[in-house]
Amino acid sequence: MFLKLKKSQDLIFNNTYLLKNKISSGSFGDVYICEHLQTKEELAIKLEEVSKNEDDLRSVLRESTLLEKIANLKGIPRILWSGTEHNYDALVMELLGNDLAALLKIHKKLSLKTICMLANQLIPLIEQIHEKNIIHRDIKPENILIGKGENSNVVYIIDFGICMEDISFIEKTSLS
Amino acid sequence: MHGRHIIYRENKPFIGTTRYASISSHKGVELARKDDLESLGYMMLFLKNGGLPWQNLVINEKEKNKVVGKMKEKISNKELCKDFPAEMVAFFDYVKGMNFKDEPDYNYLRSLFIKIAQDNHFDLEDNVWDWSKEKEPLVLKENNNKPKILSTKVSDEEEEGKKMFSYLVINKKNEKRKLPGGQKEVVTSMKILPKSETTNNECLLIPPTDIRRNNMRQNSFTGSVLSSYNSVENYYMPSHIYLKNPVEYEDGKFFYDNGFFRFIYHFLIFFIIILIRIFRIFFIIEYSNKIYLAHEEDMQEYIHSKKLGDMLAVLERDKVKA
Repeated sequence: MFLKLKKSQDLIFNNTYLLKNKISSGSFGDVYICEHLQTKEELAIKLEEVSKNEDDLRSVLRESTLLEKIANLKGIPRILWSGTEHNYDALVMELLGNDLAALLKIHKKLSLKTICMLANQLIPLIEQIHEKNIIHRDIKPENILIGKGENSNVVYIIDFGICMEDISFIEKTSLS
Repeated sequence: MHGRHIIYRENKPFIGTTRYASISSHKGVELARKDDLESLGYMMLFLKNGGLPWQNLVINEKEKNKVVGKMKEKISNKELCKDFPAEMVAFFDYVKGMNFKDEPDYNYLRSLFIKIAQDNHFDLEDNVWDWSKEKEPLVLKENNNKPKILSTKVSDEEEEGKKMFSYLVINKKNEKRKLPGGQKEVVTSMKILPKSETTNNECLLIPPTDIRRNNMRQNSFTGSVLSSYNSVENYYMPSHIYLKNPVEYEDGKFFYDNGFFRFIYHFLIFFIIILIRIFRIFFIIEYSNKIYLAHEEDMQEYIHSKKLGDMLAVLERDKVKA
């Protein structure tokens, strides 16, 4: 999605998050680096332009509500703030490291050991997400990230833009 | 979780990424928990092998989903996990064999990978990933004092010339030689010397010796006094060839030298020509219409007058008869 950010340096969200350069683009919206003005901590912010058409799904807001449900899980990025400002839906998360696609580009192939370590963390993580009645629906290397700093050994799953909640589709017939 | 599950639906639009999507996603069935695990499996294959069998297919986007879906159905789990231990096959057997509402046994799936690790004596808790071994970035060392030799071959002529002048040569560019084996060898040699070694003229061209001799000419048109000093002139004397004269000619001095203005200049000429052509066509159409109309009016008048004249003539004839 093409975002027209002419003066991205001047954009400040929630009076605390200063927008900086772009990192990547997710399934909906683009991801930028932002800086916490007080702590100078670098964070990630996901922005989606609010379209004039009201029927459009505001997936970033939807994602933020979903992420609140599965917050505090090890392997889910920490959410700091979400809201709508400057005609953008914004979602501020902790900044993570490289994604697996980028790592694969560097290393060409990953070793069996790394695969086992990934599976060892990802299967329980997916189980926990499923327990909260959420299906991710788009698991791919681009959406699996390695943490930064202290969490450099934690595998994260991001981009719940096209995931689905079970609850909204409860099968009523089976209950009766 | 018991008793509540997503409603089974079909003909859903495709969602996700073709490369890692599960089979039921290709079929257009509502996705369930097993599909996340199936995608995870494909992803792990991709990471291990650096690719998947349904990658780089030359099909258009519309058919791609169907074709990839069929490929995923047809391929056996053993073939899919060629380079993997048997546990990976078991993973796919389990995941693909699940029904829509089944609750996956995550512990079983995890245990498969733990078993692979045990068999290969991996320590899964030591936190040594492929990317933890950081490599030093390669730094290209550039020696500015030595001339950069771009070619591998240096011809004899070049060696000869090197003794006489220091120069920038583009010597025997793309010359084809026949080798005994019948192969054609392309000799391209280029040598760039650093500024300190070049002469004041910066760019000098030295020809290969054989060409130089053939291209000698006698300067007969110069005056008799001069001719005694330089009756024979070489085409390729260094002082004669300036690729770029820094004193007289400055780049960008005239607007035509500026690439941008040159582009606009050409564009304008092109545009004007097209405009003229369009106007001409309009002109012709308009004028031809008017000419035609004028012609028609004249004709009608003529016909009218002729009719009148005829009638008058008839009347006169009648009068005469009477």
